[in-house]
Amino acid sequence: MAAGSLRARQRGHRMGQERREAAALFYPAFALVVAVSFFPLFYAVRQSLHEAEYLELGRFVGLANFVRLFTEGGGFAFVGTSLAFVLGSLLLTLPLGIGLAALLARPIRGRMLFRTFLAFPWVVSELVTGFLWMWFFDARLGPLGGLFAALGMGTVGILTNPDTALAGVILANAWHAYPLVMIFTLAAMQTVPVEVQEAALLDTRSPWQTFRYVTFPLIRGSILVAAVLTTLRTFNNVTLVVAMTGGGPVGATDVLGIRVFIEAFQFYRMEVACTIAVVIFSLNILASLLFVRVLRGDAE
Amino acid sequence: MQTRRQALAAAGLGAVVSLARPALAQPRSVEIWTFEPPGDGNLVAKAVGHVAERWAATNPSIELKWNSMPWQQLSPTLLRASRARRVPDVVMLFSPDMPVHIAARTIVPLADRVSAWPADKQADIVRLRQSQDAEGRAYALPWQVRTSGLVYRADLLERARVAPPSTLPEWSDAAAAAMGGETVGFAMGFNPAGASISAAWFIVTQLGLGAAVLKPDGTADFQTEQARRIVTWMAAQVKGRTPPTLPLDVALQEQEKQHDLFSARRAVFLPTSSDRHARMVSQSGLPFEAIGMTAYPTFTAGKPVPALVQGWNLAIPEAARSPDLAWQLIDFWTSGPIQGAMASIAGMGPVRRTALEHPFFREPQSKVIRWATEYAAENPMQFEFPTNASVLYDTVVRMFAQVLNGNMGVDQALAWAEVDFNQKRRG
Repeated sequence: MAAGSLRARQRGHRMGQERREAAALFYPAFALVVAVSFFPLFYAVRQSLHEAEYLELGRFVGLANFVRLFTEGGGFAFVGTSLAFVLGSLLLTLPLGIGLAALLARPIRGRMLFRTFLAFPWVVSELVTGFLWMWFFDARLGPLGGLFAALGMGTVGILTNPDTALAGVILANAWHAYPLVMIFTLAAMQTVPVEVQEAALLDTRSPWQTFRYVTFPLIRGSILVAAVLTTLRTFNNVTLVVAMTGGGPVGATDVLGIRVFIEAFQFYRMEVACTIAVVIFSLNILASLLFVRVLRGDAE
Repeated sequence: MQTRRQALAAAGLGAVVSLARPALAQPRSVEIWTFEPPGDGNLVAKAVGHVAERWAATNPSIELKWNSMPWQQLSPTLLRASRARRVPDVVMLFSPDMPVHIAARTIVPLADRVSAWPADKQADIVRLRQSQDAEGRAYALPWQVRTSGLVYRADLLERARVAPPSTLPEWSDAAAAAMGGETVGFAMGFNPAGASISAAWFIVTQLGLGAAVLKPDGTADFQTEQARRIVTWMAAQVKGRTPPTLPLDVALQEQEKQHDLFSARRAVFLPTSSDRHARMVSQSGLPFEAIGMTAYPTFTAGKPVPALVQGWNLAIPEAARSPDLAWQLIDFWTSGPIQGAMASIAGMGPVRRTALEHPFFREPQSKVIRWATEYAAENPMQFEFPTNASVLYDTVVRMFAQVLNGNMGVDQALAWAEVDFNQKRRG
């Protein structure tokens, strides 16, 4: 009886110590997350509901900043361009990343070299990516412009034509983002047992059908996570657009991210910048919920 | 007893002095936020390097701590840092950004310090309107100034047997005559990524024609005959000539790409500022005489547009740790000998008239700076920029882009621009 009571007390003491250790590890990290993530978010939400005088908070105006953004501030156009940017980027990034992962999963010569080479765009900074592609697309001084001219197509300015500028930025973004999808997919494919794939190949006699009906359903979750990350990154993207087009020509690449940058740091209209930032945050939440729903559907 | 007390006092004093000495001898420092630290990478870095070198020679106990960031980041970073009161001692600010900082009270007035100078020293320095408040109190001093104007390929004009233009019709005819092959007439763009040069050209050309641009209450006054004429003339360069003197793909590029085009010898004319002339010569590899500079043309010969003079300023943030040392540095940087040397190193417009006594100004290479100085003195611009000039610039380039791309007619675009600017401006 006494021995049991002692053991219970020791167990209780040990659990208390573990809880204290856990708290000591958790709360500093939690405080850091609150400081760097939630505080700016709270600030942005609060500012979006107030007027602003540079960085000073002004009068409370409720949802007036949102109403103004969508009635006279071009809000719908910015959201539309951002959605086109995100969807266009996903349409290029996902097939490219998955396709390359499927190729790299096969036993080909120099596989490690190809993996390193193909992952390279991910380590290039967005600013450098932007300048690189801007030079590449330059109608008069870039290689693509030279190629078009040599083919007798005249002067073709991808980034200076309002009809093609967004496509040019999407291409640059996809080039920078596909390695993430590729690496996620490749890692997931390596968890699929070889026996399963070999058995499926025997059944279907087609590598494509094996991938389509066996491998893909098993790695779908990882691909969705990569898709979520690509979506969030693209919605929040500022650097690439600033470097390549600055939102032009004629507003063709005026995505939400660059509007936040311009309104905050060029026009010093913090209330407008924070309102757009809240819209971006809401769209990110919506997109994430959509993907989670798809994932949950898979699990069920 | 007294001797003992004196000895004790002397020992105590000695201890205090020996304890205080490290603090007294500790090197003092001035932190500067700059877009260009001292170096050899380009002409501006070399000029800043000269300042650092001369400062170290004359003030060995005061260390300069350089904190470099992209030029566009200086103003917004100072605004944010001022809230946290984590600011440097001296900050570089471009003149269009000055009104924001004066209004937001992130920098201190320098008027009292300037008025402590001898009268001739006060009269000698250039004052930029945007660096002063409504009462004319200076909040910063420029360390270099530039005058906007038209850079041109003198060699191509000579070959085409046309003179540098003074009117807009002459300008378009000269461009048409001198262009050819891969060389376009104008390197001029209306893209929000780089908007200041083309937008400022539109503003000063309107002022030269007698338009107000802004009403006395600060709202837009764009729907004028002068604005219509200028926008229509520009649209004709894109659509009214075959081949166009300004191709649409060039017209929708941002301004750094225009400089690249000119440096690559692919354009006859480039609206820019006088400080860029030396860089265009150095980057294009052309001889100095092959690149000239003149005032922006207008519609009336012999009546030049007013000179837009802008520049990089040195200001002291409101919460600076060492404002006196900061002022010592500003005083040094804006002195005649330093200004003369910077002009000779990087082709920068001096902020002191006495700097023109530097031997460099007797050499042919100083021609453009001398022209810019005289032009600015003879044609001062009377225009009150809005608190945030970038809103005005952005509206103007978007308006032009709508017209040049065929989305809007001239009248429609000017009406749209008025509404756009009035919505975004700060009162």
